[in-house]
Amino acid sequence: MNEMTEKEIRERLERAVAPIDPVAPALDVLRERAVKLRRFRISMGGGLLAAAAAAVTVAVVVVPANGSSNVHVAAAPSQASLTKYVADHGGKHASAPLVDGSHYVGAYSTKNGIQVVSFGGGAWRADGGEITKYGPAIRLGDASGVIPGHAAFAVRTIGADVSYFGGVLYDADGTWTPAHFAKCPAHKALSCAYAGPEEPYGHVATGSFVSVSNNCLPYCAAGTNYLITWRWNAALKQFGVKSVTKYRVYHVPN
Amino acid sequence: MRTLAPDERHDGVVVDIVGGDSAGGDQLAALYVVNYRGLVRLAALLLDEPAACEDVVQEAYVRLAASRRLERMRDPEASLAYLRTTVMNLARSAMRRRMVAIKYAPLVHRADRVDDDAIGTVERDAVMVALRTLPRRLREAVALRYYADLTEAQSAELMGVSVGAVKSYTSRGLERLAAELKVNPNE
Repeated sequence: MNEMTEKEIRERLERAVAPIDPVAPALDVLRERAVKLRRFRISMGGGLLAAAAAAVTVAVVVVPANGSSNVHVAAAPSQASLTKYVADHGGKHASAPLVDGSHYVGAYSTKNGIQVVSFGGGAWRADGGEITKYGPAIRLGDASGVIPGHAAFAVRTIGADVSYFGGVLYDADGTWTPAHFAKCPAHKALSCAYAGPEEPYGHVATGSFVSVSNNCLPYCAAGTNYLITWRWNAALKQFGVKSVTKYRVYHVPN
Repeated sequence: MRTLAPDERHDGVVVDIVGGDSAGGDQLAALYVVNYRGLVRLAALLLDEPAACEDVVQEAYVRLAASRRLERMRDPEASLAYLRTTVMNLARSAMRRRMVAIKYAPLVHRADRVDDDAIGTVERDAVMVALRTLPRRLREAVALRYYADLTEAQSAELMGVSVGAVKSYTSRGLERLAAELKVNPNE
């Protein structure tokens, strides 16, 4: 045996770390992180194809929508003016200006959420308070047309690691409101669409809001991806599932 | 323990993750209550930075909860072994990142650092200072054998080496620890 006995080293190690008396966070906090991690893994099952679909979306989110022909729309403010306003206010990821009734609005990401601004009298101004339901956004696009008759922004937020979630922030008669997504109805192979303001890989594609979920059967890497197309239900004021289509199948050797 | 709302019970993903009302959820809570502190202390022996050990242990629990392992592992010892392995792997990764950061970061005088009292006490402890001078494997072997009280076989499995290697690492680790403490016996 060495100069230090086993007993001695045990005691000294025990004494050395004894002052460490950590206060454990609530288990629910860790469970929430686990839920995010799990969702991320599920979403990653369809990662590559969804990313390709998202790339297509990028092309359609930056064009301001046309207003109704009966409404006088003021001259369009420039993207540069909005970007400058956002930079001056410490924000990031400015959207393109888009038409909301008779005026233009924009949105940007703040440290804790999203701020909508409106253009009037030659200047941008905050339109309502900061919306913190999504947390900070990593991209804000135009989702006009996804909710008929309402101006809307497509919101993208980062997930647990690098996956993203998407939602829709819309002008609910003067109040900017995160649109709610109803629970996915019973589907023989899919139980993993989430009720709430965001969906995995949620984005606008060809005028509709779509998301991608993996059923993780028998497990995520071998699961089946489903493309979920959402439709706005004006009566319930929420998105419901319009269709669920198989997106891609991973083959697993038996 | 939080009970699930009726809505969540139908959401396969959420129920699977939190364990719901299954034995997996109870097992996680039990593992958390009983082992959290011990694992943080073990991480403190493996890491150079005691402040990071809570992050490492919390991440290990998150990974255990996110996986479906608890459903398959009815033996609490197996779950604890999984947690220990994860803590050790995360500690190794953290150490690797730290080595790179130390290499490229400007030197910060220790006196400028604001330490938590408990952390400061641990950092100044002679055994901890001596332990930090050991190479990684020697340090892991000493911590697992003499703090976590694992057998040579269990330590070998956790470290991914042979039992003979663990014997050798432990012996050399103790030898160097004793030599280091003789030079710097501030206790």
